Amino acid sequence: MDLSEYTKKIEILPEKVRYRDDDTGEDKEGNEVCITWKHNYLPVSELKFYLRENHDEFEHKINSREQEILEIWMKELKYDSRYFVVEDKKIKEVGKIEDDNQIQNWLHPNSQTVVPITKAEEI
Amino acid sequence: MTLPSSGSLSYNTIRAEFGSPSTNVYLSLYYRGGPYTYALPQNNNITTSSTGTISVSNFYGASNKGPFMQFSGGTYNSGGKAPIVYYGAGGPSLPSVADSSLTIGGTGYSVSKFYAIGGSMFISGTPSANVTSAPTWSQRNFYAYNSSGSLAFHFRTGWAAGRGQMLIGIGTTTNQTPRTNSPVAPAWMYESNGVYPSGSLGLYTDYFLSTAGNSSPPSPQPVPSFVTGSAATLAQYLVVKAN
Repeated sequence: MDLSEYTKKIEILPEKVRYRDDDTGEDKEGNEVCITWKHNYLPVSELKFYLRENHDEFEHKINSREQEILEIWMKELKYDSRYFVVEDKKIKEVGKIEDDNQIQNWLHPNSQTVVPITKAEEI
Repeated sequence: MTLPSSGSLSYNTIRAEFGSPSTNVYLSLYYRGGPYTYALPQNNNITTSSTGTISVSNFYGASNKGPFMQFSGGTYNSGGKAPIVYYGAGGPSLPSVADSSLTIGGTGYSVSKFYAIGGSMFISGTPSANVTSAPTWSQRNFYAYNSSGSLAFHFRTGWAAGRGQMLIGIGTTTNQTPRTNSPVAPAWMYESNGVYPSGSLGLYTDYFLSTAGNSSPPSPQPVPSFVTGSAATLAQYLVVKAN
């Protein structure tokens, strides 16, 4: 199942927050932001994350939270996390063969599409 | 980034630094050793229990998880007549790195391998930006703390770290430094001492280049070493920071 159709809204909160800039050692003020994930049509929770704007780890933390949210949604949709995982924003069955190429690569690991033909004279 | 060490500290300031999924700010979310706060020396003032007394004053100078990597290291013995014993995470038959983001000299890395064999250290990951100067890695200190916040090991790279060649594919190398052209280097590999026949891959170790020195005296230059601890100390829960 595809979970990728969601809306991510970023809202700047009015109250300023403080932090220390490790590069300069100075105390500074910044904005706190609230990021909200809402799925466009699936009956799953609207979930949030709070973090300082321009945080060193902003992208990493948001991506981690997004993956966590997708896994929460998967459980809300009654998928068992022992047998299903979220990969590339899609719920996938663990170990399931979805592509015929996977079977062909297993049956013929050195097939002509993988290893080009070499003429005997050239060896 | 860390929190200020003096002045006013609001609940929102703490939440904004550590991150939170909750509209209401619960300080108990940030107890030391919990999901948002590592057991590091700068967080020693924060209580270690979610049920203990925790207050805003605990958080002066505290640091979020951002710049540090974490893993629960394991051990793997290759067996055979000449066994190789691996300690750490991301290596052969070792556990994977749990929190891969590590800031090294101002550059963020996603570290996938962090393990040791004897006195040799191997680190591999993907930088978020190009490493534009050699001193970023040269004589860099890696401190690792166990689950109780005690120092487990201290490893220092040698002079040549960041000056060697970088493996970007079998038989293909590129210079580690400086690299200002696009795209960002797809992978970074650090090897302190040669355990494998790396010469055939065109990868020079930190130890090899440090002892060889170059046109800048003195030669040999400082070599990589464990200042405290050893390879075996990587086989446990660790939080690593690079200074």
